[in-house]
Amino acid sequence: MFQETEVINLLMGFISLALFLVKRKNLPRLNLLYFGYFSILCALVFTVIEGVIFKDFFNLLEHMFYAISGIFFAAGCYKYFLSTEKDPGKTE
Amino acid sequence: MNIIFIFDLIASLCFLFALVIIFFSKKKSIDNSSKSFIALAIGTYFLVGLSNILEHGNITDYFDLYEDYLEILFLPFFLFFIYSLLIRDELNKRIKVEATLKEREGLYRTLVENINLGITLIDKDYNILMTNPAQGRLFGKNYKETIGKKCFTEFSKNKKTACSNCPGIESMRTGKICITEKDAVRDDGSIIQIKVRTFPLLNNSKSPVGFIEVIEDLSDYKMMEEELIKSRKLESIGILAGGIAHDFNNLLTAVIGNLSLAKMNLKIDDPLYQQLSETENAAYKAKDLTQQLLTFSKGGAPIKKTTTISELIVDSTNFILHGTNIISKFNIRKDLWAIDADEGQISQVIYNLVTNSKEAMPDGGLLTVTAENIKDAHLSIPILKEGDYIKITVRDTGNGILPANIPKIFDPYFTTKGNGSGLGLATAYSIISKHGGYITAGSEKGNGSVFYIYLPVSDKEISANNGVSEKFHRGSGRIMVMDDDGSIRKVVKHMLTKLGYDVIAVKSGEEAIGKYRESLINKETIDIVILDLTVPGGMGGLDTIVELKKLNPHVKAIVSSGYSNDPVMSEYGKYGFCGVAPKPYRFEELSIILRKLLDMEKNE
Repeated sequence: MFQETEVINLLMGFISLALFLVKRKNLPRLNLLYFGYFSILCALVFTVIEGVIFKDFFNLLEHMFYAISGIFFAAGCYKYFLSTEKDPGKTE
Repeated sequence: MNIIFIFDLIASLCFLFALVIIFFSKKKSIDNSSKSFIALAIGTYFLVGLSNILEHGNITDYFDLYEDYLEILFLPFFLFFIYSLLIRDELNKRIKVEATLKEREGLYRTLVENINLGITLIDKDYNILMTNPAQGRLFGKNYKETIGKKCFTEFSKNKKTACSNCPGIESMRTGKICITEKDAVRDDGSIIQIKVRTFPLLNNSKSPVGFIEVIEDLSDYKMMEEELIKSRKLESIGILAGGIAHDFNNLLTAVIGNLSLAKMNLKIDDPLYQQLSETENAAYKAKDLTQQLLTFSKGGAPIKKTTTISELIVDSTNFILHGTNIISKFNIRKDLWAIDADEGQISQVIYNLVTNSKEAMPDGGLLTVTAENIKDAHLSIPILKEGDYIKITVRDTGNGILPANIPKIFDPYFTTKGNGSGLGLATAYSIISKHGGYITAGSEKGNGSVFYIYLPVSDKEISANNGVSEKFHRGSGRIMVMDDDGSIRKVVKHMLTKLGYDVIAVKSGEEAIGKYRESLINKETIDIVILDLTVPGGMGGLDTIVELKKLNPHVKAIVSSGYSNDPVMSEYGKYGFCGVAPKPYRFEELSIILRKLLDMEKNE
């Protein structure tokens, strides 16, 4: 069954994705963080789908994408906030 | 331990690791608000992961209730993070644009403030909107104080209303650039000549809203232009004067030569000897007069030698002031630098200036002559070429010169004296110009006048004095004299024969070459050849020496001419001659030159 919060979350995810795509050219190149964000969006999609079909499989995928997202965010934060690599503030 | 638990553990540890990094990050490229939002977003998922661990580890499912709400918080926080990045990007762009504008403004400001042109922005009501330091310097004002005031009150003679022929108004009316030249009054009352260029300022609908005024100081340019006109004037007179002087010198050669010959036949106590001496002196004065005319001649160069002129200044001044009630005061540096000068001509300049002063002080007065060394004089007198100069100042306490007359005093034939020739100062000007120097005058009526002479310093060593004695030097040898003037040939032949020489006189270059060739064939050596530089309708001295050199590369020749300012006369060595004898001859000097050349030949 669908959960109300999950659907709201998914809708918000799509809206944020739309905004992201519209403004992507003006955004700085923080690709690892964006991949983390996309992974969370995927997890949100799987959360909703698991309420309809293949509950266990999509639940597994959901948690797996949370883990992937965590890895991306950790790598992203390390790269952009800690390392002495070039300034990521440059827009595309 | 199931796989989901492991995923949740990985997720939580990773989110925790990310949070720690953000917390300890000191990178300034990402601002604090962005860091806060991303930390909150990641924090929510760290808590979600933690809740999952607790649930899947069968510890507690209490936090499961809040999990959904935490998940909902992630997206707004992440969006805020993105939004703050966008704002930061906009801000960066704006800062960059502002920096570029500031830099460009700085460049414009540097250009406007450093350019040596007065630039003023004026609106259509004549209000000064902007101006630059050069404009202030031109008018002797503080340029900042003129901003906001009317242009005509600040920069025009008429301080009450707009100028009737305002070029700015003309530019606004026509929409075109307007260029005018006019006199402007500085704050101290002095007048400067300026060139004004006005450019119309148009708004978007192309209607005039003001104008830009660009002012150039023409004072230096005008001064140079006046100098050029003066030089040209002198040059044209010089061509005429040079021709006359040449012929006159030829006549004087015959006169002086015959006088010398006549004197040689008389005893020194003979009354006729005295009369002839006086006649000879008069002829030499006439020679000086022709010399003055020759200094105007086109292309003329003084016969220079490296010397210091301290003694010359004192001697010339004292000579003229002798017997007058004028007191002379000298302030001449002992270490006055040497110059390349024709002493006779410089003496002439001093003579003319001091004579002028003497005539300006009929009842006596004080004449001060100063000579000093000036390093890099071109920095203070732009008309001078780069280098060091000596400056001679001749100052008197006479009547002075009217300011209106100062620009004309160096013009030929300009005189304020009833009996003046108007050539004295013009000659001085011409001589100084030909020495690469500059002469200028200043005066206030009643306060005396002052003349400043600048002469370039020589880079050569002072040449040794020849110590020429005024005696006839007898000698022996064969001399060939080439001159187109029969009277000169006659008198020189007579004179040199009298001195013991064997003389051949010829009237042209062709004849001279023929005779020289003959002498070589007959082995009757001609020791010295005296060649007239100019032979009308025939081969002159310059072409003749070339041909003679082909016959005998060691030929000894003296160049002679009434054009004593011809470059060949001043640099005879360059043209293959061994000596120079300007006409009219001083026969004593000619005899010395001949002896010297002959002695040289013997020594060789």
